[in-house]
Amino acid sequence: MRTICFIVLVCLSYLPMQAQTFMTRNGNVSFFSKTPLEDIKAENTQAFAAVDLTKKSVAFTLLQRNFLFPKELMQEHYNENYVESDKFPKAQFSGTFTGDVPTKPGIYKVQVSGQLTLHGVTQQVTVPGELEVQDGKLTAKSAFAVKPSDFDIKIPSLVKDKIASQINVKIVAVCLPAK
Amino acid sequence: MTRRKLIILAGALLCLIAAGTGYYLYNKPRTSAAESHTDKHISAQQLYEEFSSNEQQANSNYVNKVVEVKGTVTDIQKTGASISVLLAGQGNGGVNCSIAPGEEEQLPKIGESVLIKGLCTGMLMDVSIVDATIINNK
Repeated sequence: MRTICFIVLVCLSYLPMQAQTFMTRNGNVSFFSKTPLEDIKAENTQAFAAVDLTKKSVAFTLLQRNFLFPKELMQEHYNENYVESDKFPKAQFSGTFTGDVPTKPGIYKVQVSGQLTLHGVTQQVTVPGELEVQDGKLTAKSAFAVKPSDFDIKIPSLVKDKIASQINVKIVAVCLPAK
Repeated sequence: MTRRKLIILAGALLCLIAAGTGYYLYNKPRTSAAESHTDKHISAQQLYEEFSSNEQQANSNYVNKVVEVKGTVTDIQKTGASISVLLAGQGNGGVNCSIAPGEEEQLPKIGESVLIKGLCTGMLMDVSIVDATIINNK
């Protein structure tokens, strides 16, 4: 009897072990800086994201040049002076999340922690996130703030009042099961 | 006396022009890829090949340049307001084109051959093209 129970338990524990990787090449990452003098907004719609529900891992990578700004000069300064896109073309995040996320529909709050690499500097970050399972899709959402100074991004004193010391980043990635 | 006044007036005028130009440049909207002059014409397959064989070389040739790419549509993804058209490259990789707003009417279908103009930004998993418009889908 005990052996049967054990076998059943082992089988059950393997059930959710099927590959549960979700990914997208079109994740949306936007950031927003608000100061009394100027609002700055940029959007990137080509972030690559992969979420593995069994390993509880999350990975993001994006091209800095894919951020589009409404003003030309802002885009130029962002790429040339701040994140130096020619030298550091990509930003990356890889980490793990806590909390159980089953494949049945629902919204699950998680804590994501891992390494964020930006402007050639890697920092350990922990951010709140949300994983939504619906219609076979997995939507990963997160909103957090990043300090340019933590990533060695220097902002000249001339424009210091126009760029917030904390930049709000928003992520929405609608991922499909990996083929 | 009149000469001095004239100089002051001219100085003030110059300052005004400089300030005006500065203000204009500062607020100038981003020039869309559609309005820009096309730097390169290439097929999606060849563009992908160039990036996968020598990324550094391809970066200096294509990144931040407006390109016209011809290729076969393998996927169209709509997420919220953003639309992306994937052109066939090699294997799983391709050319991922993020379509600029206002182009929803003339989207191609999967399997069609299409000519797309946009700003090349480099390679992630696919070659990235943003701010793209569809020139023709024939």
